[in-house]
Amino acid sequence: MAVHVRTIVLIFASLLLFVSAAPAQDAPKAPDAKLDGNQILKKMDEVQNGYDDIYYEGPMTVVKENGDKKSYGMTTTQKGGMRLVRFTTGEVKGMAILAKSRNKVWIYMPGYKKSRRVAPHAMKQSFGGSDFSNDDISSVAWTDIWEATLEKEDDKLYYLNCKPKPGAEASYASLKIQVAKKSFLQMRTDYYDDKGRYVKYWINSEHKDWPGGFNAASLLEIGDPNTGHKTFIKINEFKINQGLKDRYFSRKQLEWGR
Amino acid sequence: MPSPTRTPIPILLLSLFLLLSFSSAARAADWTDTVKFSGWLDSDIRHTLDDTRGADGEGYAFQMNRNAVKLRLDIFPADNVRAVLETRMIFYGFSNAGTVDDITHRERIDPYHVQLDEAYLHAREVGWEGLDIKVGRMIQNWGKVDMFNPTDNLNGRDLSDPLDFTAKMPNQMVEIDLYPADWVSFNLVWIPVFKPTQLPDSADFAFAVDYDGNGCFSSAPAAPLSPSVNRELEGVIKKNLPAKDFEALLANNGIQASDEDLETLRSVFQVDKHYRDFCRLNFLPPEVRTVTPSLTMRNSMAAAKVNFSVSDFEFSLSYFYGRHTFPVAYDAVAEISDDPEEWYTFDKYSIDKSKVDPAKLNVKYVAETLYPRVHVAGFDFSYTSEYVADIGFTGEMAVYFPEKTIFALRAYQDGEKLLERSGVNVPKTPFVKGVFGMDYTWTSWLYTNLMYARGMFDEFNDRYGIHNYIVPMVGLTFLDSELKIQVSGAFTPDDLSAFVYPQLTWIPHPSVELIWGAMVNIGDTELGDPYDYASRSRFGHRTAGRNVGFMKARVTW
Repeated sequence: MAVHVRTIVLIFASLLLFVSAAPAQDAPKAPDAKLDGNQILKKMDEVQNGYDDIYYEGPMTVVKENGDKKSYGMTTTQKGGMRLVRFTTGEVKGMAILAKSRNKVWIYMPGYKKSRRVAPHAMKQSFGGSDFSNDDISSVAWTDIWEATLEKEDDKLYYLNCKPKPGAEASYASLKIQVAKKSFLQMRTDYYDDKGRYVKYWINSEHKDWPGGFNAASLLEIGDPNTGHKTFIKINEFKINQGLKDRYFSRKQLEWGR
Repeated sequence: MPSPTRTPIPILLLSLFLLLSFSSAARAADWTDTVKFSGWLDSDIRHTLDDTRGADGEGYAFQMNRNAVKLRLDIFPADNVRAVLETRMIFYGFSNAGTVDDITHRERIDPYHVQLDEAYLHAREVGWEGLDIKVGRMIQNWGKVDMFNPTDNLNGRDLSDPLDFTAKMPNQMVEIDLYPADWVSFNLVWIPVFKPTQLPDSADFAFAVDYDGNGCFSSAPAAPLSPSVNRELEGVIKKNLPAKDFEALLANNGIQASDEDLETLRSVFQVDKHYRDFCRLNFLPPEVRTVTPSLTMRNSMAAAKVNFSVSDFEFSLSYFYGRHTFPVAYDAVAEISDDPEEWYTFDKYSIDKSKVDPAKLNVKYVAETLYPRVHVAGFDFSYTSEYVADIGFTGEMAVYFPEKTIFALRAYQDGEKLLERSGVNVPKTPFVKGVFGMDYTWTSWLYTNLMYARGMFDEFNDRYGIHNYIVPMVGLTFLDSELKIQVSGAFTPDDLSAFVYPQLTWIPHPSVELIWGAMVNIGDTELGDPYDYASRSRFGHRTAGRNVGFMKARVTW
């Protein structure tokens, strides 16, 4: 069970920050040149959490160094800081995870037919087989942990250099985030450790307009630039504002199994 | 191997029909929205690893050659309504054919059975958004701990597979769940009819009669009475056996002994002046009957639980009224006769006459068991916080208030009562079962779990008592989670017995698991004191089952 818990938690965790969307029709206007790094990061946060609720589904594919692949189907529903992820294929089928907040996470294990609270230490482990780690989602809001300076900009992108806020717990020493000027969507993030080594990348790509009139990436990729190990999430279906109530994100729903 | 029953073909056909019809109906609308189909195919081959824990002459052999298919449908005919249907088809892979006629019947050559694991209706928001109702055949899973849940007494156990020792017997229930607030919820369960635990095949060893290498009676199961009473019973039987001169016996075996040596040998072999010839004793296989509660409202069971979630602390308070699902002995009768014809005339028990040997002293032993009533007050909790070294803690404690059970033993010879003794098997005194555990993930590839448990599923503070267990588990994960090694087990300091359960799992593709492993029991296979019912080694005694190595393949969909 332990492995499954860790696996599910970290798959789930990895998804928390990854899916960002921006209204296609109401996209933020071209930026004001006066925006500083923190303002841009804040706008990015607002874009990524700017809907009443979000639902998406698609497989996660892990690509090993030798090119071998394995995929797991999953669905994710989120509202505000609450999320519910279900696994739909593979040996983890039926497992589900609910996060009411960053520190309140439950997992449903079909083998035991019961849900249990996930210990903090399990949230900190990297997901076996994928490139995600729980540290990647230490907070839904980037501005909770990071403060950004605008390093440069061009016609399409802002280039932010992020350092942890004083007192904030972060697993990386610095980040470089590329933010689309037009949509304020997160496009690419590069991670550096405390020795300045480049240790991880994350790319959102293949943006498209989804039914409902918003634009979002349909392909997420995260990987290790040193080994070639990487993980993709291909989003097949994306819905927003379905009118989900807060009580949808409950243990009762977690065990409902739909 | 569990005894396969003839397949209820209609159930199988009905299951398939339901599957197809629901699928077809659903496809017309939106298949994926109304029906979820899942399950697994499991192939399991086991071979014994010892020749000491089974019946005489069993030797090393395949113990299992099972293929099982689980089919589960979750049907959502409307919002907030779910119907669950979960069936399992099990093919045992061992032929039961023993005659030419048998091999003309497929079900005897290839025995199998179908079981309905779950079938229930679940309706949410019934009249009020915080009210759920579930009705049907289901399995309850109470308690915060993963496997050993002393607060969970609603279902009997399904111990038909010794490696799947946490499985349960489904039962028909009515459940009402209330969710008045996010931090509190209630569960109310009513179980109209009691259903007992399914015991493993190895349970027969609890009542097995042993024979020596010459095929002569060696020992009979100890009754749940004091050792002195069990000795007394044996004495009653022995005195009816023909006496043999011990000195002559030694001489016949080429042993010349002085008077002093004779005394020593008598002491060693615990024989009196006259050696009792146990080869003249025919102790028929004991018959153990179970008294199932009648189908009255008074015998229905009920339980209630209130669950709280307060910050990092989750806990429940529960109450259960019902019955212990394992049989507890309360009565036994031994009948002795060297005249079987006379014996039949007043013996009220069924006798397999083929087992009776008119040339010997025959003993028939019939025991009766029941399922005592019990009240259980429970408390369980889980606590996870980054402030306590990131360790997750879980625990449960249940106070059992059992029905007092007295065991009575009587011995008759040709209708004449020779012995009558009784004693308390289960005292009315409340007793506690509990579990406390913690787990920790050290690295991305190393996980550990450690539990202390007082009282296993079957323990009920009868003469065997309540035992203590240390239950460790280590999990290792390699190769992007494709290779997993898990070593779990349990050790009881009370009798120094243990089991070790190592497993190696390879996941070559998502959904596919190939598992190799073993279940090894360690401890004394026989009673420490043959007259003491409580001296049975928990994991060592043959009732714990054979040591096996296994290979499984499972695909999940």
